[in-house]
Parts: sequence; C-alpha cells; structure tokens
Amino acid sequence: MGNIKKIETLNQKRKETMLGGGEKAIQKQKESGKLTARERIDLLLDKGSFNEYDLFAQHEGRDFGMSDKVLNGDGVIIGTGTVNGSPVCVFAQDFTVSGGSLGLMHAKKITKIMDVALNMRIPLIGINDSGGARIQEGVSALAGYGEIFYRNTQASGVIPQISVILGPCAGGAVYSPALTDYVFVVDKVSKMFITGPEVIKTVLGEEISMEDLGGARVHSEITGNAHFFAENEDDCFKQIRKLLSFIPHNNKKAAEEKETKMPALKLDINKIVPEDPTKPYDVRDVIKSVIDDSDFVEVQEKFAQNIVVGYGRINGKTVGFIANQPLYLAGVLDVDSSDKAARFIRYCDAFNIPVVTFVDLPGYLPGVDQEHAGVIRHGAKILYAYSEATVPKITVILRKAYGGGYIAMSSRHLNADFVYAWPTAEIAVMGPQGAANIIFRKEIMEAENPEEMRKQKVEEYKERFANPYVAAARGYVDSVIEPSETRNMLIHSLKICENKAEVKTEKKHGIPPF
Amino acid sequence: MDENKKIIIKIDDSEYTTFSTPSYEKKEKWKKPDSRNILAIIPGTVVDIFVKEGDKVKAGDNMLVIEAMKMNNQILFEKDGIVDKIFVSKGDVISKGQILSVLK
Repeated sequence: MGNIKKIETLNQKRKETMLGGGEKAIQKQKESGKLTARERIDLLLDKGSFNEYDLFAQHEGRDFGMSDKVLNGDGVIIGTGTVNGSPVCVFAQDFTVSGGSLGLMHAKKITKIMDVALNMRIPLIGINDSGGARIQEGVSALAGYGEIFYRNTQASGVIPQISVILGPCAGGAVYSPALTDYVFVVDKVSKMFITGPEVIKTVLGEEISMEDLGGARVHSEITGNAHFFAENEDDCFKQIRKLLSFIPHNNKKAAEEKETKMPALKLDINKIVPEDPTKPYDVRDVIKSVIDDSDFVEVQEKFAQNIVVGYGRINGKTVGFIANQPLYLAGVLDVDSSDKAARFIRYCDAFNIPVVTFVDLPGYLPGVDQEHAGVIRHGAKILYAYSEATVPKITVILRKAYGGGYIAMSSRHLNADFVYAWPTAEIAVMGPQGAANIIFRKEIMEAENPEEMRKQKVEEYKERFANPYVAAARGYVDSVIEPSETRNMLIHSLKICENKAEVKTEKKHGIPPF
Repeated sequence: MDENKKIIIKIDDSEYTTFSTPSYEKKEKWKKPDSRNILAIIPGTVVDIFVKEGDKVKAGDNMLVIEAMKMNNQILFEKDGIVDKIFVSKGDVISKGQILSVLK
C-alpha cells in the first residue's frame, strides 16, 4: 500500500468515525431539537481551531454482546481549540453513539482532556448530552465518573470549568457539572436530575414531567444549579464565549484587559435610588452606571434575584459585583441569596478578581421557613466568604445597611479595603420604625396620643441615626461620596489596591459552613 | 414586570414593596402541627390498616403500614384517643405529609 493509499484510508476512517452514530441517529438528534456534538463544538470555538484527539478510541466492553459492537469515538469527542483567540479544552458527549452513555474508554477520554486543561492551565468546557452510565460496562462506568469528579475537584479554583447541559444529564452524571464553576442550560433541551420521573412515579406515586422536575427553568429559577439560561443552543455558546472574555483563564493570570469605555447607560446616577428606604429600584442601573460600556455579565440572573452578582469592567479590567437588589424581596439576605453570593465571592477570590459590593438591604429575611431552612448556616457563608477573601474589596453603601445585613455585606469589620457611603446611606442597627418602637416604647405607650408620639420619635431617630455620618465618625466609612463620584472612586481605589498583599494565617484550609 | 405582582415584606415594623422570587414562592410555609392529626412521614402505598373509625387507641398502637422503597413502615399513634376519621384505604398511594387519620 503506497503512502497516498494510506492517507486515503486515514481520511476514509476519519470520515466514517466522525459520523458518530450514523445518519439515522443524527436525524433523530435533530428531530429532538438538538444540535450534534460536532456542531456544538463549532459554535463554541473559533472557526477552524478545533484539534481532536482519540477519534479512533474503542471501548473494551466484553459482556452482554458488547464485544462485537463498534461505538465511534466511544460516544464522546475531545480536543483543544481557541475561544476569542485563547486556548481551551473541550469535551462533547455524542448522544448519537449509544445515547452518549459513559463507559470506561468514554471516561478515559474525558479525564485525558481534563488533565491537559489542568496541566496547561487553560479553561475546560464540558458539553453534556448522555443517557448516563453504560450499564453493560458495570462498575467500570462508575469508576469513570469517580475519576472525573476527582479531577473536577483538583482543577477547582485553578482553571475555570464550564458545564453545558444540552440533553439529559441524570443520576451520578449530574455531579460533574455540580462540581464545576458555571452550568449553562438551554430551554427545553437541558434535563438534570438524580432520579428521573419514572422512578419517582414507581416509588412515590408522584407524576411529574422531565421539564418540571429538572428542566432549564427549574434549575435557573428554583434550585440554583444552573448559572446561565439560554433560549437556544446558539445563544448559549455566545454567552459562554462572552463569559470567557470576562474571566481569567487560570488563577495566576489576569483576565484580558480591554480598552476603557465610558458607561453607556445615560441615567442620572444621583437620582436612581429613591430616598424612601422602603421603595424599590433596580440596582443593576447603579452597576451599569459605573462600568465600562454598561456591559454587565450577570451570573444566576433568574435565581435568588434579591442579590445580583456578575462581572463588569472598570477601566478595562474585570471586577466582580455583588449588590443587594431592592426590586426583589426588598434585597434581603436569605438562604438562597447567601449561597449565591458566597459562591461568587469565593470564585472571585480564587481567580484574583477584585470585588465591589453595593449595599442596600433591610437585613436577613425573618420567618419560620427561613429559620428551618437553615438561614443561620447558609447566612454564615457570606460572612465566611467575605472575611476569607484577600482580593481587593471595595464597598459602597447606597441606602439601607441595617443590623446583621450591614455587617455581612463586606463591611469594614470583615476587612473591606475601602468603604464608601452615599449621602442616602442609613447605617444603623435597624430601620427607624422598628428602632423607635423599641427604644421609645415607654414614651409612646404613656403618651396622650401614642400615634403622634411614635411619629415624632421615628423622625427623631431618623434625624440622628439614619445617615452615614454616625459610621463615618467612627471611621467605619472612609468617605461619604456623591453617587456621581462613584465610578472615579472605584477606579482610584482599584488602582490603590493593585498590589494588595494580605498575609493569610497559615493553615491547610478553613472549614466554611458548607 | 407586572406591577400587580408586587408583595409587601415586613421587617422591623417597616413595610417594603417588592417583587417575589420563584424560589421564595416555592418554599413551604410553616404550619403549626396539630397532634390529633396523623400524617404520612413518607410517601408510599398503604398495605395494611389495623384500626377503624370509633376505635379506642393508645399511644404506640399500630395504625397502618406504608410500603415505600420496598420497606414496610409502621405508622404508630403518638397519643391516646378515639379514631375519629380514617382518610385512606388499603392500596392507596399517598404522598408525604398527607393526612391519614384524625383523633378525637
């Protein structure tokens, strides 16, 4: 056989193998409203940048008649490529090959590309579309999952790990995405659960559809397992490419710096926040008024909306924003918002992204359901995350900062580097109504006209304590600033913090209230 | 956003007008337990009932058996009383927290 012939054979083999499960299976994949694994990789990566490995991998299953079966690529595609010109590693499960089921070789391919990602310190993107463990391979399939989980954990905080759920991801398989940093889901395509509707029906007699049990909306709005929601796959990959342009690609490297742009949102920042502390507004307008081009990448936009977290750039550099959102649940801290914020803060700290916090909250959410859901343990996470973080921490108190909420939201006392307050700030142990009712209980009760007295005492309390100056007098607030000065103050403070070197107490690791 | 969907949250005597979130709405609101009600501690299928309405029972008596996850779970009376009503029968598939019977 001459060289030319051998090259022809290679190309023929490539062509056949790259068809995955074959034309029929591809047709079926399309009919179920999904793209193929190869189309997905093309959408993710820069055009023509993909290099595939282990195309000719074959499974070694011997039982249940598997030895005669050829599974192209063993149901997963792995390789390297670039996104916005930067190198990344990717794997994509191919549902057309044996339902994307995970056997030993399938898992070995995934762990191979994970090792490359960690060794080369480049991001890993995993596209999940699999029926689960390949039952015929038994315990080997379980071993495969375990080895993936181990590597997810080793890579955590070193390289960004992104999971894209584009099909079923059920049983043990869900735990790899759960261990990664960002989970992307697509409406009507993504399905994630530990036990599916069938089992739930048999055992518990409860009937529920896959969509209602673990669809994209459920995980974006209720469980918080997903971080980004997209209407379709095309939009999903655009979002991933955008996120990758904002975050550092490993824990020793800064995010790509962009040209500085002025905020695009033309609102009068001095007028965004209503004076009455019980009136809502959208805190994202404040964020967009201070960041470059008003370009904000919100993480977990649909989950626990009472806190807003995400990335923006200030003077071309990426900053992580955490802001109470008075528009939802008055911006309170509760079980979900504490979890959401704490995780985001830890991510920023791991990847050296400075944290800017905008404060406007009445405190923790009262209620039996919150107490029983463990608001003590969950609420503690945000305190832990802020206290532990050594990245630059800059806090701006916009309006209310009451009680435990004030302490938790990156206060001076948790070692914030710079704390600013707007003139509308009210830093106090609680709101004027509640405080006056307690402090002046006797005067109010004994007054001839208790309502009149109550009003008078609330006004008195407001006058004396509902302002930023009591805290400023003690140095808890470094400076009271006009809202319109905020962007410049942030630019300046971030510059001052650029070489921050906080010495940590030596330890193996802490015990956060997981 | 639909302005009509705004709710009011009361914290420290102040009332905040605000929107709700899906996960907040989904949380089960706490109800004061009534010790006369016998509730299912797990979901499953009723395979046996040992009492009928009007029976006098003592704390610790077996009320019924629920099969769940291939295990038979006995539901016992927690206090003395007279069975006022039984809401389930043999073979019923029940959900967690469902009321099974009430004592007088």
